[in-house]
Amino acid sequence: MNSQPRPVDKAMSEERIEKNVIRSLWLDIVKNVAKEHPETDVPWYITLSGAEARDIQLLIDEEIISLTEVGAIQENDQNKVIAVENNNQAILDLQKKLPGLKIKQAPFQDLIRGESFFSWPEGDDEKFCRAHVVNLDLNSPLRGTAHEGEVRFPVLSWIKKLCQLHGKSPRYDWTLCLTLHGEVVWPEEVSIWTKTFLAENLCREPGFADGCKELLGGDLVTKVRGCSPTKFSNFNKVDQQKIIMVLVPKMIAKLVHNEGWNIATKQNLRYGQEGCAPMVTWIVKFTWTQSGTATPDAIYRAALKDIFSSAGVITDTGEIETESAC
Amino acid sequence: MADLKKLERENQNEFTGEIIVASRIVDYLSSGLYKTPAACLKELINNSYDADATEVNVFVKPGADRIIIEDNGCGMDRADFEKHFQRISESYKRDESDKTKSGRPKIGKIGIGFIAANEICDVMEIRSTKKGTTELLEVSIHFDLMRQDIEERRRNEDGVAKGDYLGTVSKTNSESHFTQIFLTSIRGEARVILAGVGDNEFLSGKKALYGLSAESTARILKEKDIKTWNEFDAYSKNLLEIGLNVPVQYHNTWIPDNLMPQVRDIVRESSSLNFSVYIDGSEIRKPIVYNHSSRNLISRFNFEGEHVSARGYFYVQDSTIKPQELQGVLIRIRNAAVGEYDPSFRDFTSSIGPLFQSWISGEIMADDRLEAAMNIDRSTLRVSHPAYVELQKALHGHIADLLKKVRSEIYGTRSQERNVGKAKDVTRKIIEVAEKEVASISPKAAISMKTAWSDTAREKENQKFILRKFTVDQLYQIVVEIAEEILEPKQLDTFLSRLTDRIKK
Repeated sequence: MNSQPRPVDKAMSEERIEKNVIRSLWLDIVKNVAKEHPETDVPWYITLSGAEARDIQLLIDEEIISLTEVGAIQENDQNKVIAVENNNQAILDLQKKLPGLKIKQAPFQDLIRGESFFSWPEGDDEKFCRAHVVNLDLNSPLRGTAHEGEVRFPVLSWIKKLCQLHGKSPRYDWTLCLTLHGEVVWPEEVSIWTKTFLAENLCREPGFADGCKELLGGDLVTKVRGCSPTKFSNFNKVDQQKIIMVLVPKMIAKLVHNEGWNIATKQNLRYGQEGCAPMVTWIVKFTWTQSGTATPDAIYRAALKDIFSSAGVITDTGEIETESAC
Repeated sequence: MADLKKLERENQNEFTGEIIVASRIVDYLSSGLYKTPAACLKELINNSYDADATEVNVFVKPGADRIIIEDNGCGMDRADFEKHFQRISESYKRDESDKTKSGRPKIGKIGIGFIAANEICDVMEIRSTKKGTTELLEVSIHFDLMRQDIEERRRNEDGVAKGDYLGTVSKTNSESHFTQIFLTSIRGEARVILAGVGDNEFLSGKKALYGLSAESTARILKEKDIKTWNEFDAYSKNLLEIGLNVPVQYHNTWIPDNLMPQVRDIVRESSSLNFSVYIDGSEIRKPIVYNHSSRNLISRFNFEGEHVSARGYFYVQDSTIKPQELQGVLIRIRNAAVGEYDPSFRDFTSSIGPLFQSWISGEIMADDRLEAAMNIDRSTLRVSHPAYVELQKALHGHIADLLKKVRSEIYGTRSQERNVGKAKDVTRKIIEVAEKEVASISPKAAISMKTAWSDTAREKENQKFILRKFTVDQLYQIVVEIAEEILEPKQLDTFLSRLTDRIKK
């Protein structure tokens, strides 16, 4: 009774051991939230689950979300998990799989009202964005745009907006789960900006430089620091993933360290062996600190440490191994 | 039209033209047609039935942010869409046949079912692939634009607005055929009613059918304490109203087992339509479930008239039918209900057996000729139509006979059983008096009393005198007669004085 599945749903439906590992990490986080906030008006979990909704299914399998006798989400649990989906067919597939599931019909960028800091979600949309766990499992690379010398990464702007939304009273600590393709697809201006940004920070911050050497390796650090223009897309697959593993949490720390949140990168992982799409995924915990706005530099420095200590790779056997520079 | 043109040519002072109706008429029509959002949904479900669908999935919860209706029917292509949707009330639904390819009598007639969606939402999106093709039709209909003021919408001199709908056709690799309807931007009041959004504290504690299997739903409907469907939340009431109207199956336990053989053909007929509807995963069945009273009967209705023929059944029990929404008679045409149960049995006199009328619940399946009497709202009938008048007369005759039968077979039996119970109570008390009061004075007399009254309650003749009531004068007459025979005058004085005091106390 339906038409062809989308590539994203096809990808999500494939049994990928690495993906299962990540889902189990997400599950643990939501489990904790459910334990800490059993009765709450704030959604536990908002996710770009795709039509398969495997992450939500895990919550059901673990009895965090309960079903009725016909497999519909129990009324009491309907506002605890929100799926964000814009495609009609996918929405229908989701509803058939899980009747009663709350689905926000919109692309995530519309839900968060884009990158602009003059436009904000309101009402239910604001409530959804303030979920305890926000899972942006994006089937796309980290896109960057340059306009009149200014470089923007839309996804990172959304995260900054999410931080500000969660910072509204009453505040809740929250966790970001972010997954992106591990390929660099930036236009030249963005590549130049990124190279400059990383090179400057390598010079300015010894701790960051040491971490980068450990994670990226000397050769790659030299390339980034070097004077010649760096074309990241020419790097091998793993090096591209590693550049993104450094850049994204670093940028998150840079963008939100003065918002009052302690930023802890709990997982900074890459996966995708031969024949599979290279992916990068993060779990970042944001904890409100009273002194945060007064000591942004300390928060920033602390945030950078985690980037490297949490770096790892998910092997094709499902093990999480610490990242080495080799 | 050609004739009009010819006339126009012949006389230059005359003019002709086609009356073009602005699409805003959709709003005017729908607002007068559908009493409830459930009535709108059932129209769309009946459209799926007419498309030979065997399964319809409807999704409303949570919050009715959007409503999706998906069926596995024959689907439609662009040509079908334009044929059916472009001109309201110029439907071609029954052009080729009044039956679907699978042989179902088509419910829709003039193609206004989709107008129902206007009552619920601002935007309706249709996705469909026609059986045997690989084209995917996608159309958006913007009711919100249609509702704009005429001046805002007028695009050209002939007053025809553009852009009421926007469609695309693309290729799909899938060979499945389906229609999916997405109703979005749900109108405020409809959301409240359809999903129970914003239920206030006065509505809490209501019974709910969300997420239940057909078996559980039947079990709840059979509960004796449910007086009315108003005891259910708004969402559940919608499920019940939809189930009552659309051609879905009966619950397995809807009628007492002893009566099932008498309605088996009706049950079989309903099942043979092979039409299942699921709302948020719960299977919807006819919400007709009787709470299995111990005394009941079925009376079949078969009528062949000059203007109409009809068949059906009447279920009778020895107490008021609950919930009250099942009291009376429901008329179906082409398997879809016309409105709701009518507790007046189509204006049957209330002077005959008014109590027993509330003990009856029936369904009548009328033939197509009654369809001509049906109003555009599909819930009322024109009372002056010959088919209606004839059916009403036949129905009233049947109800009058049935009420007599109810009096004799159900009420009579019940009254007899009640008398046995009462007589047993009386004899039990007599024996208690014999044992407690008389036995200590005269054991022989006590035995005599017990023997006289034991096992007498069952006999109808005995009940007459066991349950006989005496006035005080009659009591005096009996007692004085006996006392005079056996007491001395002095004893009689004392006895009567004490008796009078006792009676007056």
